Amino acid sequence: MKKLEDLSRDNIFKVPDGYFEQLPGIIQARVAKPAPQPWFIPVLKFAIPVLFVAAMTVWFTSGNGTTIEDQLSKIQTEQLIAYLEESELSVDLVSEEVSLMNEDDLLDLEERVLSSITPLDITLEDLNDLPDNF
Amino acid sequence: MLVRTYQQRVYWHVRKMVIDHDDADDLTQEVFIKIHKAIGNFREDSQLFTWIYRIATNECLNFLNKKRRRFFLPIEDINSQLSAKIDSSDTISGDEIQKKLQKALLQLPDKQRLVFNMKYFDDLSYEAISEITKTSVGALKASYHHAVKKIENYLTA
Repeated sequence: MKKLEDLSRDNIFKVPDGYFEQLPGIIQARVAKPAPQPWFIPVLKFAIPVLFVAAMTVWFTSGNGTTIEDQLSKIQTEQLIAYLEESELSVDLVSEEVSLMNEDDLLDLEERVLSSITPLDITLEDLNDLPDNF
Repeated sequence: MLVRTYQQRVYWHVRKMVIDHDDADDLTQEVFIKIHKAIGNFREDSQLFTWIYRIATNECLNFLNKKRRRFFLPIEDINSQLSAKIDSSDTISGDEIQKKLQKALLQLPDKQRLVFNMKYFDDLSYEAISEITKTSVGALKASYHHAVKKIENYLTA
């Protein structure tokens, strides 16, 4: 068996002439050169301000991120009463408007009202129990 | 200054692993660019040369793994390619037995080849290799012993 100790440890690999003289300069030049920018960086420079403006627009137009219930809860009761009193909407006005409707308009109104009502999950048993509970 | 001091050690360490001069040249440059970027993270509790060796070692292992993944090649095919380069490259000299030793080394797993190179050619201590590879001295001794046996078997085959 051939022993490793018997073999020469000389380096059999070679480099082109002057390689190690040039290498530090090549590395220095690469270090000094700014790294190439990824393609998405210029896109992001424009996209980020646009997205920011869009997000702020959506946020402001959607009531600062609050729900309608939240906004209503902030209104004073007195202000609500004053608004309803001043507004033209009243039962009398609605009754008058309904009385002027023809048959087709009434059917259309009925349909719209019925479609806007969420069906309640009430059983016949619940209905029978209702008088006992109230 | 750092490049001038360590370029040859890094280059030859890398070259023995990747065989090809162009690959070794690319990797050596990458190693020094990484060193330049990470020199602030260098901790004084390890020797500078072991830290540099560790970066070079990781670059070599990543390069060889990527090469296998990129071409969907099994280990044997990469070794065959590198063996062919030993015969054909004009930047490799040496007699037949020295070339056969290099081909025998290609039969070893990458990490075992690294350990063998650092011990046999670079004459590093097990303690230094342990710091570079983050492997225990006992495991390194066993690895080197197995490598020597495999190489001697290959040389006599």
